[in-house]
Formats: sequence, C-alpha cells, structure tokens
Amino acid sequence: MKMTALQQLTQPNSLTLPLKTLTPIYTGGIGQYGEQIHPSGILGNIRHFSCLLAAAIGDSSFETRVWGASEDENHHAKRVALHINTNGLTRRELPAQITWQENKHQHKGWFYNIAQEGKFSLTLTRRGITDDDWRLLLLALRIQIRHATLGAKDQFGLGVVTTDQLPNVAPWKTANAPLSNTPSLHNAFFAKLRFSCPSPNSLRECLEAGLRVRAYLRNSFRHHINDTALRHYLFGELNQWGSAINVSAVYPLNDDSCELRIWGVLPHTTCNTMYNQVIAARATLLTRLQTALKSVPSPHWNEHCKINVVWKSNNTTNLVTWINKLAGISQ
Amino acid sequence: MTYFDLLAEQELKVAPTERGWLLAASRARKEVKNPQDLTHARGLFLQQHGILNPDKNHQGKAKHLPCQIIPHDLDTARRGKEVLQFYPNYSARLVLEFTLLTPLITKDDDPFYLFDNPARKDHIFGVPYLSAASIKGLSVDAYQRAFPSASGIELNSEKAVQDRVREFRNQDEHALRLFGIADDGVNDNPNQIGRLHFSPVWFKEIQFLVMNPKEAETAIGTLPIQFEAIAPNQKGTLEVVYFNPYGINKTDEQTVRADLARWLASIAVWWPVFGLGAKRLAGYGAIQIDKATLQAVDWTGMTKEEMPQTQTVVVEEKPSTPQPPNYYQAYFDTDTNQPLNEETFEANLAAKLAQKETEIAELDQKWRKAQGKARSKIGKKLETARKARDNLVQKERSQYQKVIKYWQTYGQTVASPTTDDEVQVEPVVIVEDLPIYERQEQGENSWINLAHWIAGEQT
Repeated sequence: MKMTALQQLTQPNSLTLPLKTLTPIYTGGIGQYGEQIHPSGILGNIRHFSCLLAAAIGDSSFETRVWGASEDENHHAKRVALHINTNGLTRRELPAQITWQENKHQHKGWFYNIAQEGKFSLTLTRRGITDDDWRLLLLALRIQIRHATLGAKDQFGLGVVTTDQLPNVAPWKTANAPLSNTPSLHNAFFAKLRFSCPSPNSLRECLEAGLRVRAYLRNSFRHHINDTALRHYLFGELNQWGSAINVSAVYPLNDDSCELRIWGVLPHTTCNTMYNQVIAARATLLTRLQTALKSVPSPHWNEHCKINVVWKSNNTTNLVTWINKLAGISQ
Repeated sequence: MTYFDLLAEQELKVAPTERGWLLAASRARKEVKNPQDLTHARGLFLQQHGILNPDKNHQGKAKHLPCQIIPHDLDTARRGKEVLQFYPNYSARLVLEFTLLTPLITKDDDPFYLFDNPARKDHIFGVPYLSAASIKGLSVDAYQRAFPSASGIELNSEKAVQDRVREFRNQDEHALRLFGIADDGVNDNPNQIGRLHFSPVWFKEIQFLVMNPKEAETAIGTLPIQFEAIAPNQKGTLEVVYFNPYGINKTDEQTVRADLARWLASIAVWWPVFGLGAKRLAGYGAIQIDKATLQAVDWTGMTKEEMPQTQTVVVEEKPSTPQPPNYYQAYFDTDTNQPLNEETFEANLAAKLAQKETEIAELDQKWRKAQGKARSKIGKKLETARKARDNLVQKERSQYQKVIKYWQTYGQTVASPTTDDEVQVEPVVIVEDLPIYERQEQGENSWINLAHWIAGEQT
C-alpha cells in the first residue's frame, strides 16, 4: 500500500545543548537534598539571565513575550519549551559542612547535601518565539555558560557548566538605553581566577578553595563605616538579601591548571534603598573587588601556585560590542 | 463508617500505615484555623511524610509516597486483544508505554486538601492518574503542531477557542474523524463523535515538590509553594482505541490507517519535546518512549508470526426467492393465475375512487357558493380531498405495477404474503471469522516507527 499520510508531518524546531558539569549542579527540592534536578530551578535561572540581557539592551517586554504572562488580557504560555535530559548525571555526595581555621578565626557555616555531576542536555523548542527573541535567548545562554553559573547554591561553588557545542548566533547589532530600576547585564562583572597548578585532589578542597576566596572578598568589605549593609547586600544575609556575588568552586582546565569563576550583577535587585546606593557607588565597588582579587591569598592546597585574574566588566561606551565579546562572537 | 465520617471523627486515631499519608493529609486541614496554622501543618506533614529520614536541619530526600494500585478490572490498558472482539472491521487499539523522567503535575480541585496543588487522584481509590480528557487535549495539541493548517486558524487568538477548533477540524478530515466535533446546535455542521477513545493513565507513587521564586526586591524566596506531583521514574501505559464505525463512508482500511498513523506520529514527535501535564513547558512531565503495541481487526500486512484471534460477525444474506408484497392477492386473478388485466384494474380503481369523487364534487359545489373565510376553509378541505384521491391513484397504480413485475420475474402464485409493503428479506446469519493481529515495537523510536509502519511507509 502506497500512502502519504505522514508526508506533511511537521517536526519541532529545537536546539539541544549538550552540557557537562565543571562543578556539581544542584536545584534543591522539598527536602533541600538535591537528589533530583528540578526543571523549574534550571528554567528560572535561564529565564533570569536572559532577562538581564534584555534589560541591558533596553527591551522591557522581553520577559512577557518569551516567558509568558498570565494576568493581562494578552495572557499566553511560554514561547519556548525546556526539556532537560539528566540521563548522564550521577549523584555526588558533597561534604556536609565545610570549615577551616584561619589564624584565630574558625570559618564555618557552609552546608551541603547531594548534587549532580556529569553530562546532561538542555533542549529548547520554539513555540512561536520571534527570531530576534530567539537570538537574544541563545546569546544569553552563551554568556551564562561561558562566564556564569546554573542552578542553586551557585554563590557557594556549584553550577559551573561547559559545552563544546555553543549555539551559533549572529552578533547583536543594536541596543536601546538599558532599563533602569531593574537588574541588568550592563551592570554585571565576570571574573576568573586562573591557577597555574593542578586542581585540588578532592571535591571538598575544590569547594573550600572557592569558599576561601569568597570569605576573603567578603572580608575586604569590613574597612569602611557603611560596609556592613553593603557587605550583607553583596554577599547575602539570611532572611534579608540574596547574594549578589557568586563564587564557584575550583575546577580543572587541564592537567596543569585550574580556575574558578566569580560573577555578579550590581545591583541584583529591583529599586530599593540599597539599589540606589549601589548604583551610585558601582564604579567604586567594582574597583574594590578588582583590587581585592589582585591580592587574593595563595591557594591553600598549593602555596606556590601563581594566580592570574581575568576581569570583564562594562567599561566601554559600546554595550553591544561588550555583549558580543562576552558571548564569544566576533562582529 | 464512610470515608467522610472518618474525616469528621474527632477522636479518631489512625494507625500509621504505608498509605496512611493520604488520610493524614486530608485530616490535617481540619485543624487549621489561620494561615500560620496552615504553614505549620504543611511543614509538619512534610517532615512526617514527605521527606525520607529528615536530619536535624529537616533536610532529606523527597519520599515517593505509595498509593493504592487501581483495581485490575478498572485499568483498561491491562486488557488484551479481547477488547476488539466485538469491534467492527479495521478497528484498532494502541497500547503505548512510556517512563516519566520528571515529576508529572496534574492539578486536582480538592478545596479541603492540606496543599493548594494536590495531584489529581481518583476520588474513590485515591490513585493518581492522568485523565483521559487531558490525554485527548494533549494529543490534539500535538496533532495541530504536527499537521498545522494552511491558514493557521489554530493559532488565531482573535477567534474564540470553539471556532478555532471547529474550523481546524473541518479543514482536516483526519482530525475530524479522530477527535470529532462538539456542536451545541448553533452551527450548520452537526455533531460528530470522534473515533478515538482514550483511557486514563494510572500511576502508583506521589512526591512533593517546592518552588520558591526569588523576590525581585530582595533576591530571596520567602513564599515556598508546594506541589503534589506524580513521582518520576514510573512507567505509564496509555490505551487508545480507534472505533471504526460500520456502514458509513470512509471506513475502509486505508482511511483508518491514515488516521491512526497521523495521530501516533504527532504524539511520537511532540510529546517527548513538550512533555505531559501542567508546567510541561518548564520541563515537568517529560517522558521517555518505551514501547508501542498495535492490535487491529483484519488489517493487511500483518505477518504470520502475529497471533490471530477470531471475531464473530453477523452478516445478513438475501434468500434466492423473495416473498411477494402483502397486497399481492388484491391484484391477482386466481382464475387465470395472473395479475388482473388492465381493464379489470381500472374498473376496480374507479370503484374505489367513486366515493372520493362524490366527496370532491360536493366540496366543489360548496366552495363555489361560499364566500370569505368559509370559502377559504372549504377550499382547504377540497384541496385535501383531491390530494387524497391523487395519492390513492398513485398508490394503486404503483402496487399494480409491482405485482406485475414480481409475477414477470418469479411467475408464481403465493399463498402467504408478508405484512410489510416492501419486498421482505429473511436474514440468514453467517458467522465470519475476522482475525485480530498484533504488532509491537520497542525502544525510544517505537511510537514513530509504528506510525510509519501503519502509514505503509515501512515494511
């Protein structure tokens, strides 16, 4: 029987991004245990980062156009669907608590459970998203994979991923003035500490290395009168602020070198008193961070290891150039 | 004591059992008087039932909570080929198996449950399921994406949903046959029942999820929202039956196969991408396809290795010599053993018409003399009488011709004619064996492979 019933079958327009964890990935759960990857955690991350980029180019309606709206008369579902394939991930038990002694001070209070490491993939399927919005979304993904993190507890070392198949995207050409009163990528900074020595032997030490850098940076905001409120805003305070600055665990680059990532958006909240203070003092804050990084102590697992600081923040007048550079796209 | 009495009982002590969590969740809401009580009750419940061995920080793995298994007789997907035993020719049944990769959210509307987002469960047995209506809706969505209309009517948000549905299905005959169309009588097109019949998919285990969106002003989440969901890593079995109606157009095997191939291909391609249930676009309800089984009544192309089962079909067969009409004797001359000659027929007809002609003549006289409303009234009676006369003439002549035709064809006198006006047929029952074949495909591509085979694109 010769039939053509399926000749017009339309296939989904999807992009699959294979990813590999450099530090374990974690998304919480009802028991905060981390034994599953919860799609909402990953989606929320991707959504937030894409909205940072949209705010940087002055697009105020990107979030509702792409990620859906439920309240107005133009309510609609997301214009892109996310599917996570976690078949290649395995559970990794993390240290229950990380502490260390530094002179007379005992650093303590970083708690972990279980996370996931290995290979997984993200499949994004278009559902009516425009070409421009799709391009912006992929651009944001490229930046997030190359410089930032995915998932929860990324301020404490988790969630660095990599891929050798970044999505191909044409360079972004134009931008309006960035949105005010909302977190935006044009206020972000991305740094890497590159160590010219092998990474620590154990995951515990990799996590501890990142936490030590974090503690050091947090400590660098104890010298001025207004530093307490600022420190809490930048590095988080229980029941008050989420952390603006994320410091990853150390991960290997090759047999002879390793690195960790530090990134953040200053300010990372919508308009409030701290938002205005941070906006006013942003240049100074970035300088303080950059200066502190240049003097970061030798790594605890290898005192002779040299450290190279790679710093990226928006100092140029050409935001579009900076965005394309972050994404690794030549114009 | 009924289940509702149990819930209302003040002093009831429930012994902890493996499935007692469901009763505990139902009763916990009873004690809540304010939002603080509710938060406390939820937290306590999750510590006791939702988290496995919580540590001192109340942290632990999400527990997979067991539910009662649906009684065997109610789980239609477990049935075998016997389902199709009395179905018309070319009907088919698909049993599709998959594994849940991420939790499946199916929101119920129980207003007295402890959590705001309970999973949908059968209200008698408490078994979680994905409803047949949901499956139909999800497959309609997949079909519209797999076979979009040329006009894009299904995406036209300016039109009402019912109008979009009607227009889409009216432009795609396969969709119309598969899903039917429900019309409330406001349009010209009549209702049409779909040929696909869906069954729910039953599951066994529940788990709790939490979503805690960060507030924009503080970058922390302060209002965790709990969801009850069907736990991942469970097998689901979906049963769909294509009922091929008997005796109307487009019920041949080719039509059935084209319809079913398109439906199966659309879900094979789009369900793994979008998932099932609520929040599927976020990644919940993701599935991995495992297996597809097709059972079909007398389809061609099934190999000998497949196991046929016989199906009984009743067929009416016409006897070789039909009975004459019941009025046969009235037009038959028993002296000559032939139908009446025309002269005799006309004389008999005139005699029957005599009374009617007299009635018509009297009415005609009255009509000529009448005026106004009376004339109109009599005119109507006259018209009715004339019609009755004409009908009698027509009927008599028709019956006379039929008697002549029967006699010319069969040349018999008949002692006992039938009671009906038309020629009667004695049904003869013939038992016909229709085989029911089965075909299976395994693996991630099983559904699409089977769809291609049904469409005749694979051997």
